Amino acid sequence: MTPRIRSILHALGFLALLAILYLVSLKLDIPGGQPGAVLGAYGHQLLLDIGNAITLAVSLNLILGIAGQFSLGHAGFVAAGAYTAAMISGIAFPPILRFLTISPFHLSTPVAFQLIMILGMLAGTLIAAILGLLVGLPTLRLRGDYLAIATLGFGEILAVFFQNFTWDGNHVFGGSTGLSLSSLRNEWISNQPDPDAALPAAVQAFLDRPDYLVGSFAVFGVTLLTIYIVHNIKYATSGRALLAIREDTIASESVGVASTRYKVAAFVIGAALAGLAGGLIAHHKSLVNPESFRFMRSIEIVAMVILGGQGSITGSILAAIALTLLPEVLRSYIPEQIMSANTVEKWRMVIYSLFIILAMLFRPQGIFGRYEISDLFRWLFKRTRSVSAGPSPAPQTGGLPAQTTIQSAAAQTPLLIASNITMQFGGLKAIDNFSLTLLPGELVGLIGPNGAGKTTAFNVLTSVYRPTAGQIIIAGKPTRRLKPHAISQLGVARTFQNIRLFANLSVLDNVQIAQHAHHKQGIPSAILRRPAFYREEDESRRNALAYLQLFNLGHLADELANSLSYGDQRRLEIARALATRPRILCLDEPAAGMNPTEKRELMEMIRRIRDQFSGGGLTILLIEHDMKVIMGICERILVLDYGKTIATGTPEEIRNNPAVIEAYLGASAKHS
Amino acid sequence: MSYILQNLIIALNDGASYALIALGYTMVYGVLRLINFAHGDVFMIGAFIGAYTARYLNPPTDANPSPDQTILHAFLGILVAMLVCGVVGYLIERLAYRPLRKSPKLSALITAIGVSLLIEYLAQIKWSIAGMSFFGPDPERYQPIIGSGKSIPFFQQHLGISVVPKDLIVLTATTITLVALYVLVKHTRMGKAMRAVSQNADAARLMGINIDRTISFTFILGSMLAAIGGCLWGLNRNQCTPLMGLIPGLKAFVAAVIGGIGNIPGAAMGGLILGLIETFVSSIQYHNAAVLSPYKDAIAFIILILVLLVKPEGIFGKAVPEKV
Repeated sequence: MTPRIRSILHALGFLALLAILYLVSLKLDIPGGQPGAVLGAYGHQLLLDIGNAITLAVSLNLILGIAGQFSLGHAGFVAAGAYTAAMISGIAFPPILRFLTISPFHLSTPVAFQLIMILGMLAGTLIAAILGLLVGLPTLRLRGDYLAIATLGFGEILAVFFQNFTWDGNHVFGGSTGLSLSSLRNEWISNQPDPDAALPAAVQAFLDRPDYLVGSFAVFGVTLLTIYIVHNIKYATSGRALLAIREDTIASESVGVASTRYKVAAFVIGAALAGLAGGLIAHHKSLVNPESFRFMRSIEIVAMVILGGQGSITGSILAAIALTLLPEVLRSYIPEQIMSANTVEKWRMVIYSLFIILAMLFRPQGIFGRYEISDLFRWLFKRTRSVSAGPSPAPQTGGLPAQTTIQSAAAQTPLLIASNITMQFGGLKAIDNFSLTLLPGELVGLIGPNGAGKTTAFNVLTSVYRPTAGQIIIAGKPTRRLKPHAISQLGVARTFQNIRLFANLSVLDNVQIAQHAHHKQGIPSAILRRPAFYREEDESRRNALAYLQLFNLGHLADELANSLSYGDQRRLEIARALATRPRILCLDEPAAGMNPTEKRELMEMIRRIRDQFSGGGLTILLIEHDMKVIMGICERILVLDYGKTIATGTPEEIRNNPAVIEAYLGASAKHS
Repeated sequence: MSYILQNLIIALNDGASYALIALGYTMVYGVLRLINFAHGDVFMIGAFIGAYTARYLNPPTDANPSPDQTILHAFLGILVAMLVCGVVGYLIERLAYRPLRKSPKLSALITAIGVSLLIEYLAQIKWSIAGMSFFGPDPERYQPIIGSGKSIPFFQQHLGISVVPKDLIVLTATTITLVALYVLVKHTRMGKAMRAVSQNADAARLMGINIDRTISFTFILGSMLAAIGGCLWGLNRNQCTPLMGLIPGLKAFVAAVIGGIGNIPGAAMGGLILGLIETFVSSIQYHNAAVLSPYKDAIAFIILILVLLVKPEGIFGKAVPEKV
């Protein structure tokens, strides 16, 4: 399925659903307190609640589902948006109104009212986004449960603040009763629009309808906007980066994804959308009180996302509808004659919580898992795969992005200089005074017994660890302050000893993510879906397929990475590393677990990679246990033992070096 | 001086409760890597059971509608509460968490939240069994120990502070519990098994440790500590409500994080530290008004965020570098 077809399917599905909800809510919207209109008004309100619930669930899904950052404080952002909107439409209202109705603007009062409301909601969005940034920047460094608790704490702090903040002895935010907007609303509705206002008819018609601003139209409009934004972020470079961060943050950094920036961006966008929804909720509920934005509200939103399936927008929408309707449906099934209304309310919540527990017990991955509505279509109309399953063509570099060729003058300039690196963990010096210089096109081996510090050396070179002492210069830049993604962007790619693929993403996605740093279309372009975005998307897909073909993985493009065989996973990891278009490739025990035939093929492949990539100038640094592999292909070898470099030289020199023999075979080997 | 001492007494009292709840959080997190959100509700159940035991042993009469209980009855109340909460803790683990042990962590966390909600709402419904009513939305009276509310003259005269016997009862009971727990965790086979499972569950299994039994035991132990905490809370405040576990539960979790989650002595210390900071910050005077006291509930979370940012592994925890 191409990205375009998928987008069309999603648009059709989501639009149809929202249109149904919107039309039903219009049908139920019977104005004015006529007798008999109770059910209609109630149903109308319920549908608006559903719309807002969808907005909140989908916006949290961006943070929790797609980026995998467990935020338990989403209601805090809703509160920020709601209180800001209420404050601007309430406290700040008279001066702004006066300002808008005086000479240069001369707006009629109802128009000014509406402008102020819009202003309030936009300000709420902005405040929520700023809060998102302030909370996200420090806390997103935290992992898993710690982040959950920190965001939970943030939500509680905000609720306590709104409830208790006083100035001159007055509760600025209305204390625990909250702020009421009903007086404002009534005043506004009672004011008939001014026919003399010099506004275009269309604008006037829009402003005449209260429901356009805070009713069904606005609620479902914002819902649609949220789904649109989150969907477009998900199916783009940015979305793949976020999913990669969720799957494995370290691996995502290793292929050039600036994980912190992406996490914060997702957090801010999610927070802003929640703030916008908050402003709408404030207006159509006419009341903002701290109780409605506490911990429990956050939990409800989290439950929607998890129940729907982490990362599945379709799932979030359905779960939001189900969990909002469930208590209401239960209400109509428990007759009030048997017990008091209050007890019925509690029983409803008992059933609600039982439902959540049982849903998790029987389907822990959520209703939709990681699937979307388009996957449902695909499943219904199972067609032959677009990628041919026949014998894949002979691997070749054709179709790969242009490789930067090395100028002969630059050929002897070292790409990487590491001098006197020491890495200490507590009392253990994992590497001690390690130095290494890599020239373009070299094939260097790093060997040593278990625990000699080989992988630590890799981790230091790629900035996963910050060395205790020493300096590393890559392509002329000192790397001490650089994050791993910046190292990747300098041209250093790596694989991991215990394969770190993005396990629950497709094989194709794994390679596409690695081209991340070479993509120019950012989040705004992804949201707007400009033609340049599609061009880049197509190109990235083509390139990724070419890399896969090169490693005979083309026919597996649509499979999940963790469904691949061990050998294929190893090859995919190398393909992924190469897709970052590196100048230095670090391979951490690529031959581990391979049989002799596979090892021979691997050696062949490594040589081929070196000759074909980076204009024949790709530098390869290889960690390996297997002497045959190392001796067979490396031009230069470093031997580590207990963190110390005990020998360097050509394979021939290393083979006869007594210190090496002692390290590998023990002291007695010398005498025998 | 007396001001500081007086606040210290309050702080130690709150801190003791936080510590007792925090221990349950930390032990469960240690063996299961799960934030057991329902833990605060087990604490609530403990308080109610303690109150009902007193009501059964020392029923209110028309002449004396709100009697006080003897210290022996209070002790019996704690024992019954421990028993009931132990069973509740076992059931929660067995029915809700064990089936999810291999599932994504988030699913388990949502389940924990679901269990917490379930208990809270069940407790807000009035249950009538054999003519007696249990739980329900109205607060239940927790009988105080006879004479435990009168200020002790010794402290009043010599230090100028008001210390009541129940303060001392809470502190003594907490100290005894903590020492007993320390001995149990450090010097028994089961304690060793718990520590092993929290280090590495798979390795512990290979060494022949029965993981399921160890985890069940941890839940039972944690729930019993929560029961003690709940009863002491009740003895101190003479009242329990269905939602009483919510805020102390969250704060106790903060205490566990401050002490380094998974770290047992850390949780106890974290509870005391939290009690101290909370009490002293909210007693700060500005223009003769305790300006910060309305924000008391926020203080714990501000500390939490600060601790997480500066030393995420907690004050007494050790940083574990992620293995790559």
